[in-house]
Amino acid sequence: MTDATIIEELSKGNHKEPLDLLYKYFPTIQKMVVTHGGKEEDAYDIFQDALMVLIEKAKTESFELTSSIKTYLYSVCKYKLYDKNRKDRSLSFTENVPDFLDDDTEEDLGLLQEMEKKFEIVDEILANLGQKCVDILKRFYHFKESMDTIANELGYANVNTVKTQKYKCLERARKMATGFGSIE
Amino acid sequence: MRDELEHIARIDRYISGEMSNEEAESFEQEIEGNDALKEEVDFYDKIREGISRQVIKLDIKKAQYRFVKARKKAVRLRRLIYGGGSLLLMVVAVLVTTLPGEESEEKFIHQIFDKEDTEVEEDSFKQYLPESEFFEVPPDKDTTITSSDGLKVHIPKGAFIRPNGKRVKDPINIELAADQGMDDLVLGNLGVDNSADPLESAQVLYFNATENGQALAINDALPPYIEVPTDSVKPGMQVYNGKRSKTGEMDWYAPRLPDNFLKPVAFKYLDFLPKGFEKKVQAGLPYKNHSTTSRELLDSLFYSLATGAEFGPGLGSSKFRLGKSPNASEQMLISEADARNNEAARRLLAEAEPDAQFEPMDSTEAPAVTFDNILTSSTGPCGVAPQLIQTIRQDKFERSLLATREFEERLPAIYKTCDEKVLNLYVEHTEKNLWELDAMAADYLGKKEQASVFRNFSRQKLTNVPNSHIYSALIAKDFEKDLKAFEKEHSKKRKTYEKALQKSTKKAEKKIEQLAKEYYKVTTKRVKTRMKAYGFKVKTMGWKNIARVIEGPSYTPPPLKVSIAQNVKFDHQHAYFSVPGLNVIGQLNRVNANQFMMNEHRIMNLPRHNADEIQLIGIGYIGKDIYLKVITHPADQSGEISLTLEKTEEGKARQILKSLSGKSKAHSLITALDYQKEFYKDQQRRKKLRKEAALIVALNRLAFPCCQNSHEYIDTAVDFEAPELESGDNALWTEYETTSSKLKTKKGIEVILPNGKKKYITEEDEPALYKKYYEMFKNGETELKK
Repeated sequence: MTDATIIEELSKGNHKEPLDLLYKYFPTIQKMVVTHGGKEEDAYDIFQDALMVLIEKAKTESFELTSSIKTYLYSVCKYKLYDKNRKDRSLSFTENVPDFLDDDTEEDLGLLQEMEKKFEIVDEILANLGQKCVDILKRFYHFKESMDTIANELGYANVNTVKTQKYKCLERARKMATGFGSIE
Repeated sequence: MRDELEHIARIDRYISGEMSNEEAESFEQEIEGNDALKEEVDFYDKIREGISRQVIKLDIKKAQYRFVKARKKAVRLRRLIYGGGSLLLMVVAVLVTTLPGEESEEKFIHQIFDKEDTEVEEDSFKQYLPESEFFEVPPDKDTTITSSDGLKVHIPKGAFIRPNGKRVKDPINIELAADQGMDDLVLGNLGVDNSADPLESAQVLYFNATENGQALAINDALPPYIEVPTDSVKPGMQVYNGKRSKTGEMDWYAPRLPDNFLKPVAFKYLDFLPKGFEKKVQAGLPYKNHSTTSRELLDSLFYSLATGAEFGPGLGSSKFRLGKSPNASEQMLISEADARNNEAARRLLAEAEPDAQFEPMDSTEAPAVTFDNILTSSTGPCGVAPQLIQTIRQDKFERSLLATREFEERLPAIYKTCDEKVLNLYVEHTEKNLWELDAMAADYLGKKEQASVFRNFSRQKLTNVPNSHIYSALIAKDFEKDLKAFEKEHSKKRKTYEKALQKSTKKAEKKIEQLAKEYYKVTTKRVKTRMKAYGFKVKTMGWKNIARVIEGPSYTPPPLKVSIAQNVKFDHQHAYFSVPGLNVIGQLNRVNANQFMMNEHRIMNLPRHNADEIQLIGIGYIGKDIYLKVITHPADQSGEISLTLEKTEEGKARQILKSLSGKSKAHSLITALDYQKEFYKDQQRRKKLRKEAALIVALNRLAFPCCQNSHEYIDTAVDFEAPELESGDNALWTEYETTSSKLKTKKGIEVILPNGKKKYITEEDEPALYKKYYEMFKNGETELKK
């Protein structure tokens, strides 16, 4: 699968095959992390974040990969490690920041951090919403299943029952959000 | 409900991009103009995105797992090769396995045929297993231990037994180890691979208990419970037992899925308020200093509601009489306090039994109606006391059956029963399964309609939370004590509040009474001096004030109606006249909030007889802003005039008003308006109290729908009403009008003594003398012979 195909598949929401292929780059990244004094397990988290950035960007229409995916992931991971170093002061970086910092990468990583913060509250709401609600919302909003399909798959009496349940779930989520204040 | 579903469907179509361009544009315009809609759309969009992000994160973790699993297989294969084994197997492995890039083929073969001891260690992964932590716990106490990673193990008393079944007597040693991540799973060979589908592990842990080095068994009746901290709750997780072979192979088996297992949820995410409570509060805002709803306000309002239990059975210490209900033909109890302070209350009493006395009465006699003094009457206990809910919602009970969505689902049905005993069934037996408690509730309700609701709940066969016995013991120990403490606190708060309210009300009423007395004096003086200025003698019998008995010609100027244009909505507005040449002012008689009249048969309208022109002054207030208009009007002209007030800077307004006023305080427009401002302030205070009281009554009725004696609230007029026209310059705000009966007025005659001094002979104080002079007046004798 070429890089372009991987991006295309990711943008359509087909994750399995592209991700399996991308994980072949992980050993290189893990080596980079360890070389700079990081732990092996940190590499897993850093690589996951980099993949998240890649998938989020692939979904935007304007995304154009100017290098190979491997290079892109490597840059993102290196910058994330550098950022962690600034916070932990535990890692050794001899390169100057400008040397490996790519403007786009920094922007993409900044975007990830912004989104993580923005969705912190949403994540907590979803974690406490109850499994029934998360199932319905996942099927409706992410997998774009019809109400009929959802009703059949989850064993609801009819479409109206699912709609009502979805409404109640969203109302409950809004109430929880009020408890946190704005989720802007 | 249908509207809400269609509304959400519309938002869904927008955020999914399913709307046509036209439709989307029109919707966006709607959003621009509607902040609430904008917030709603943003929120649903975030939920949609949040859900998608979680799915993506899960896909990434699954891919990671597949990668690690594949890597582990390669590692194992490498170890097998390096460790020896069947030559054939090794050769096959050499041919088919991808060798590490740095190993040369020569080096590799040399290693295979090396004569050194290459036996496989029994458990070659042992050194990579996670490190254990050790704890010592007493055998006779419930204990919770927490590992350095935040893993919690709840060990109830009696959780372990000796292999021979006997009780453990010595301290128990607990060994606890948990994986720190993927590397532990891989290197320690802890991963799961006995399933066709890749499995994602949230936690692999090792737990062991010994007594003096001897292994212990778990007591099935009271097992320990392990809580694994996790960033997010993943559906479908199961608990596997693990068996490790001598060679370090893990066999994970017997997964169990906890069907109907209840998950405790933090109370802050559970809504225990009666249905519609929040909406009612929202509709009643602002309330005191609150302009938005918050969890604190909702809880505070709910917990402050009274079932009346703390006042004891009956209606407290007030005395009552039966009066006619304003809304029905039946009779209602009206308190003595209301009869004293409220005109509407007095009317209802007069229509019922005018001669009856006030007495302490029991709530079973009749429902109570209340006016201003909502706190003087109360109901007997009925419904679910809010303090029960307050006691339940403490952090220490947050892992009990009561802190679950399933219990939250049952609360509306419990409220509907209006019977605390139903709630107490759940509170007092939290060690039982939820379906058993539902069945008990249904049995208690017997043939009542709500019994079927609880039977349906019971059919769900829901169980309990983990370690329910620990929390039920805690509830049994603390609940009653905590409930009493909350009830006591509530009673104390209520008494403090009542006291403070009565004190502040008394203070405010005393102040306004004092002001009214002063104002009465000012206006009385104003009328007298105005009369002197006119030089007219007027018959005054029947006035509320005491005045000179004199005669004079009657004059009937045509009526003049003055209205203040309502292009803006004023807080309060007034109309005065001024006769600068005579240095007098007067207040126009008020017809309603913005209409005034100089009536033809009213003495107050004299200036229209005694002056060529008058100044008509209209004043309105919005907050601190003053709106003013002054026009000159020929005194003998009638008709209808509309004054459009203009916003005037305060300094300039005062200057104008001063120029139109007389020299004395009684004829000062500024003084007159200052009084009106105070009366308005008092009216607003009363209005606010009424509104707050009305909200509390509404919330009471919502929370305790079954209460036979739940309050009705009669909102007496808070808007301005026209006073009795003969009040003239004594026109005050309507509310004070109803309490002006507190001011004593006496009927009498003014007598001028030979030395010129005046004496007032009142009918009440000197009836004989009053009768004598009154007879003289009637007979036309206005001078005493002696």
